[in-house]
Amino acid sequence: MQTVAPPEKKQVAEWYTPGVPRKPLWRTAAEALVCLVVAVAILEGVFRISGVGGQEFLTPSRTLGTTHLPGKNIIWRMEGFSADNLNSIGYRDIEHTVAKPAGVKRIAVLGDSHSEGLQVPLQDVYARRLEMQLNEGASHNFEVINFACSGYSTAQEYVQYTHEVEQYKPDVTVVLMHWGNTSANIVDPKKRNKAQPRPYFYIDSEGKLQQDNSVIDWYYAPGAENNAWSKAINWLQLNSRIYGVLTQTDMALNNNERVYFKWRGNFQRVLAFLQGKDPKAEVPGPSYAEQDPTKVTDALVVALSDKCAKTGSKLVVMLLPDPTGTASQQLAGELTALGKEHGFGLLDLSEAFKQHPQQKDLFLRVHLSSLGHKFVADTLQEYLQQNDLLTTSTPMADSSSAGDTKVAAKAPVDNSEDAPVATQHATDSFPGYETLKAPVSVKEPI
Amino acid sequence: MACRAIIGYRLTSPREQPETMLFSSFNYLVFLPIVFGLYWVLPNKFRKMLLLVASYIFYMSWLPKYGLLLFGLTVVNYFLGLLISSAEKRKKFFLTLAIVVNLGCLCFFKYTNFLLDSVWQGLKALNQTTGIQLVNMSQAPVYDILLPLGISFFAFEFIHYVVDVYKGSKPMKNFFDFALFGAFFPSQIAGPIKRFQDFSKQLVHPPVFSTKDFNDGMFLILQGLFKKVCLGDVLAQLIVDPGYANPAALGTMDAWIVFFAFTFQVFFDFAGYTDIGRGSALLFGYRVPINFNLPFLSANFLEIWRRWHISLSTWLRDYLYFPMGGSHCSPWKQRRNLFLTMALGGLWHGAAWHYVFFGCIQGVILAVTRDWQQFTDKHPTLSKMKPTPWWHWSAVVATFWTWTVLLVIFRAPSVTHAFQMYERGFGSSPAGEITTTFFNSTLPITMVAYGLFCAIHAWVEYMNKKELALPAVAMQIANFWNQSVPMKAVTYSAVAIAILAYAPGHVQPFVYFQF
Repeated sequence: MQTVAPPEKKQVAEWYTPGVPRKPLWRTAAEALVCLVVAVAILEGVFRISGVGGQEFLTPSRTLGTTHLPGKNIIWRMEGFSADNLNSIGYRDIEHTVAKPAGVKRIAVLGDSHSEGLQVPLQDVYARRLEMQLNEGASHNFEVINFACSGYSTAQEYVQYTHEVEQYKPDVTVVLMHWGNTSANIVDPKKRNKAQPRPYFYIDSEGKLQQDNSVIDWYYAPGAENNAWSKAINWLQLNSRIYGVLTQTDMALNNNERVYFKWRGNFQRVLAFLQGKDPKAEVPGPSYAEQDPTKVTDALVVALSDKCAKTGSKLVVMLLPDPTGTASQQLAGELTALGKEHGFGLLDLSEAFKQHPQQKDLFLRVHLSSLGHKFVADTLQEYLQQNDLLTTSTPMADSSSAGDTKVAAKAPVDNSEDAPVATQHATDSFPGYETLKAPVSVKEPI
Repeated sequence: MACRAIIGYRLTSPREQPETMLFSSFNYLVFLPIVFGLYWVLPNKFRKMLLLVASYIFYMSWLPKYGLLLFGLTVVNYFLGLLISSAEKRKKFFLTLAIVVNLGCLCFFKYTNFLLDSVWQGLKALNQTTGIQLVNMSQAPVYDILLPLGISFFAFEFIHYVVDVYKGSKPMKNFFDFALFGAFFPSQIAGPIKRFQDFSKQLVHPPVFSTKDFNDGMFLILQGLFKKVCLGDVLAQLIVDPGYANPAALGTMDAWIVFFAFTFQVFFDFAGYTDIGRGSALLFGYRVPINFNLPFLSANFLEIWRRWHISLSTWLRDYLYFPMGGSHCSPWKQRRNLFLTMALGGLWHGAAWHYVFFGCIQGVILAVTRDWQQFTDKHPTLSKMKPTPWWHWSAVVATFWTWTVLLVIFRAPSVTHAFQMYERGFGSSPAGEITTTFFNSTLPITMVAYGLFCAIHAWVEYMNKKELALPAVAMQIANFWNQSVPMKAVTYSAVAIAILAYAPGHVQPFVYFQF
């Protein structure tokens, strides 16, 4: 009998379960939708319970580039840990009234993430600590209001003073700076399309400090914050933990993965192109020569000092230690000289940090630890006391009273709205320094 | 000269490690789907070649010139394997040559500085005690030798290959197959140490796409990523690294959290790597051996080494312990064999004395455990107590605790440092920052979640093993899962987002990459 070998079973790719009929498309789509809704609900719930995805807290602003989301609950884990709410206006602080209570001395704190202090609990941030320390054993005589926001440059702090801080009528304004802030104050006019949306400054050919808002204007069309897309994003920022996780991942990958950084840039350029923007086209704005970041920063500090003086506030610039040392020393040297001239105080923390017995523990990875914040609060308190900025109540000065102070006659004045710059120099002498000899305009070498 | 070019001769300060394509990096997230897509799109005959090319791209993404080293060792072992197999008289010579080449490379790259430093320290000590000027250098000589990634693993695979060919296994005739065995990227950098007999079988029958393999692969990859990124990396960044960096700041509670954190970190890190590697291999239809089998449920150290880094322990057993005589010799020789195997195993982990010390302690414990087992087997009362659950679970707890305490020697940069850590752990000082950090972090939640996942997994396994019916709801979910592609897609995406949510800001290199 002839036997026939069975045909060799051909191995085939198994794309679906054999014998099971394929589902109609509508059913697959319905399944997908139900699964998606269930998955989103589960993830949102789990993330909320476990406190992740709550690191989204900034929203676009046409004035400042970005601002805090008022009332946002933030759970910060990227470096250190904190879990608390921004106040109803959007500051990382407790609630404060705009009107200053009688007999209270107010200190406004301006700065970036170092002063915002998301890496430590709110009560550990140096501004809160300072207020608690000043009010220790006494009635409520001092208020320290923290206006700091992540990523703020000196330029943003200067603009913020006019738009937000001034109305609180602070007696003392403290700005915590570091060397890294200086480069964020200027933008290369040819690279505006790659710059962060924030106000920039430059010194024009006449030596006047001018504001350049072109990047913000390019990024955010007027009224953009009220369109449906922005509102949806805002809603997601406030309410969705999944959205928070995705933006947080985007930030982490953008900072740490070179390939992602490159691809993301290309994707954004394609997106801009699809929106009708030519990614290679120059962003319209004023043209000016290459700027020296230090000079612009110095001019901004002088301008802020003048503005503070006009509103009856004393400016104190605090400098954080710079890991490289040299750049910070140069900035400290320049600001010390300018402080003597323009009547603002400078508290360089570099030496104090170096001499601290637990120097290594003052910082987490990049930002101040709880111990670091405590040390800054103690050092600042000591400085304010030594310079007599806490004992005597400074009479509040409105804009008219600023005229009582000596005004820099030499300084060029630009009152146009586009250039809200301080070009007049009030000459309130700063305690601890000699009385100002002669006001200097920003035209002078700074 | 070529050698000088490769190792970058005589620099006194160690170089920064170049970036590699970590399994948990964005680069791998791009690399794997591209290779996967190409693999199944290309005709069958090109697939192995694609995997080989992809494996070399993967390896050379770290340091291109070390691709030459891997290729060179592959060529040498391939031809020596053929020679060992075909030679009539000089088999032993070729085997010795192959072992010398592989171990020589491993020792040169891994142990040169260790050896120089040890000799220098010895001479210095002699100098101080005898007053004879034997060494006239203020610093030990240091060569800037960058350890090639995965050399400890592929060198061991090559040794296994030549030894097994010598013992009579058929050598791999196809060079490209052999090259793929040596370079296969899912197991290239940190194992598991493959056996060529298992791997070559899979090369003979070209794999076909299977949804089961795809699902199992995805499951393993996501599970591995969760272990590595959400548990291992977070433990490392928040607890272990800061804890070991500053022992003086640790309270007693902190120290114990750090000790246990490292035990879990090294497990999640390495088991996570293995899962991702095995999952990646499954996507291409290949099976790579397991490396861990619930090691923390071991009731003694002999069992722990059968469950922990299985591919290394079996390699050490087959190519070190057995050739020395294994357990077929006098009791003292058995103890000696165990001790030497573990001491060398310790040295394999790293070129430092604390690894050797760790290995020696393991050797002593294994020998004592074996004696204790023999004693309890013979003892009338103890032999009755042994099968009871409380005996078993007490042994599990004691074994886990001892393992954790011993791992301090493994993690600490030196033996002195390890004793500083013990001082904090066995002292009595108030809790510091580490305890607060631990409870503020996502770790309690992720560890409980992982524990629940393991419990459910074990329960399902148990029910299946006992052929018991699962509850109706579980059956319905399982059926729906098996039939619904959207559910799978949504679940994979949701798990991926969850991994992102609990990941730290920075990706950590895998612990076993340094070995």
